[in-house]
Amino acid sequence: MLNYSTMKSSLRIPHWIALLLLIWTAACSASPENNNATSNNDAAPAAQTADLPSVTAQQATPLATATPPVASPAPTPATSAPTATKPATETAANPATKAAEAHVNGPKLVVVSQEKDLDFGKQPQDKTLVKPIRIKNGGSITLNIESVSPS
Amino acid sequence: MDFPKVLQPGKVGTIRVKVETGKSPGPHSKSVTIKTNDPSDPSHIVQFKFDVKG
Repeated sequence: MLNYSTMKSSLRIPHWIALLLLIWTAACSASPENNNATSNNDAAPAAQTADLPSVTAQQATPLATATPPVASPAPTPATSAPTATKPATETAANPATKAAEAHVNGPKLVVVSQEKDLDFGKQPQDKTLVKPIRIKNGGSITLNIESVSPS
Repeated sequence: MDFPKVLQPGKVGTIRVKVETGKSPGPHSKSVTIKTNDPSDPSHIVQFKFDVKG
């Protein structure tokens, strides 16, 4: 144990400074969870917890000052969010435009005959009907009819 | 079935469908499947109907 009464006054002050630095570094290095878990049995932890709010307040101040930059970049993600949604709309629009281009560029089967034309009406028994179904190529490329079969 | 093998853009063609009405009276519904190189509708079904008199 140190006896401060016998210690020279020139040595007391550096010793107190070293002790205060030790407490300060311990308070700075301690995590907030540990600070909350510390009990206030001794005076030293009480001093640590007394120091800690100031430390957290000091940390809160930079955080508070750091919050506006975080808030200011927030509009940037907000602006980047529409840019993120823009590709989604572009990807949504791209298939439509691609489908439209394919619709325009490819062949397109269009049945010209209307429903009334496809109703043959009353017919006698055992008769062979030959009815036309009119079709059109609504595209821009030659339409190849591979087969026509009853289904 | 009688149909054109090729149809140029904008051109109209005719598919001639032969149907046997048969003996059973009443409404009938039949269909034909047209297979083409149309990428959006490669297998188009056309339905038609008729009513056989008893």
